[in-house]
Amino acid sequence: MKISKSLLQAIALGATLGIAATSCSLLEDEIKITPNATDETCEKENKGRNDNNTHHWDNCPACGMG
Amino acid sequence: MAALPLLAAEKVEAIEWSFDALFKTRNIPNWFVDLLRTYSQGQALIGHGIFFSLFSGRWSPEQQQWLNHLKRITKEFNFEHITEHFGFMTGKNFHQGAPISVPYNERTLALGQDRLKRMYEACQRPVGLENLAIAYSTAEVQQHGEFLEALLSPINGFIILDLHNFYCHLHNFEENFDRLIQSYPVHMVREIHISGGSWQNSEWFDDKKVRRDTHDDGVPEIVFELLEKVIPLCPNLKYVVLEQLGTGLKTDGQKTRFQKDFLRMDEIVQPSIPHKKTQNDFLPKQKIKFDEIVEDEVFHQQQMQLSAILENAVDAASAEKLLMNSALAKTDWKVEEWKTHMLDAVIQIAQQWKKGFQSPAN
Repeated sequence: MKISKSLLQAIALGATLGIAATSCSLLEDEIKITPNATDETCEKENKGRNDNNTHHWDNCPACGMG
Repeated sequence: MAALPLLAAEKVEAIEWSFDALFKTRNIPNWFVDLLRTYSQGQALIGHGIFFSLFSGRWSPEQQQWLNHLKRITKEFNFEHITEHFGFMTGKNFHQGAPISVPYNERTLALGQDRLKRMYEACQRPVGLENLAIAYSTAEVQQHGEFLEALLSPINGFIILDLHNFYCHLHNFEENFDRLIQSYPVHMVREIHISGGSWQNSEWFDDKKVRRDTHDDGVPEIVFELLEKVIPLCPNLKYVVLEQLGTGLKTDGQKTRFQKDFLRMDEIVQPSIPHKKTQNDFLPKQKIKFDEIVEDEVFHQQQMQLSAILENAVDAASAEKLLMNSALAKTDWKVEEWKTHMLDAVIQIAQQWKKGFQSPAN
């Protein structure tokens, strides 16, 4: 599948340098899903919970449990 | 980063997302969501759940929450299908532990069928189950395919045939490929997984090592050979997925190996595509009927006892003694027939994952 150049660049930057902008509410249970939203709460959580921005997005626990 | 050159070369025709893997992670990068959107809009996004714990004997609020989440996420993204793992999660709390097998009987069949119906109701997509890598006994390995078929038939569901898991069964139970594959309903295979794994020393396996489905290494040659053998047997195959953990993709050499594995997979898969017209859409053929939520308190208590033994046993020998004196003894669990080398492996898995998945960075 063709992936846009801008998205490829964003992936490269994101995976190399860490997370710049985040989608805060993708997996929230009680609020509407707005994957592209970055609000104040989200920004605070960015600072409070993920200081080093080094979450491993490629570590899928569905793999490798056995 | 290992997948980036493959994405840039337009080699990746579909992606699989474990949509329930980020419960503890609120901050998701936009590029990740945009990538999902791209494949969603291209009708090439498939969903792979981890934490539903299909065979938990007691229905939990977390399972309802999982279904609610599935319902919402399938409105947000256009998944082509949704899958889960066979088994139940060890650990006292939901979202913890590793998938562990269950006895094949009418009670577990009723539990599994009920949960699969609820999954379909939530997502309104084809629903599938993946074969499990870990098994306790030879009989269980030989009956796994048949039990998967019985579970999935009421919803016309499908099977993910994980070939590394299949390889684990072949090696750890000294099974023959031709005989074992005949026990699987290959017409129900819509997706295949390939991956690598690791070897675990075992003092209970005649000086041999136990094969573990750890997905932290490249794909072994034998799994590619299995892929070549199995594809022609599966008339409804639609997706082949390469899985590898990020922890096994740190060095340049590991990344290069991953890319080579992907291209090798692609070489094997591509020739079959022009001839591939799937005959089954794997959607239910009749309206799904719901009764009360199926629960089994006795089974739940047995699962809790088994989890506690696995997570706390000093070694397989002591676990065997505990199991023989547990509520599982002389029941359909057939703990008397469990292979000691596999019990040892299950103990290691349960103890590895009992605190749930933790990213190295967290």
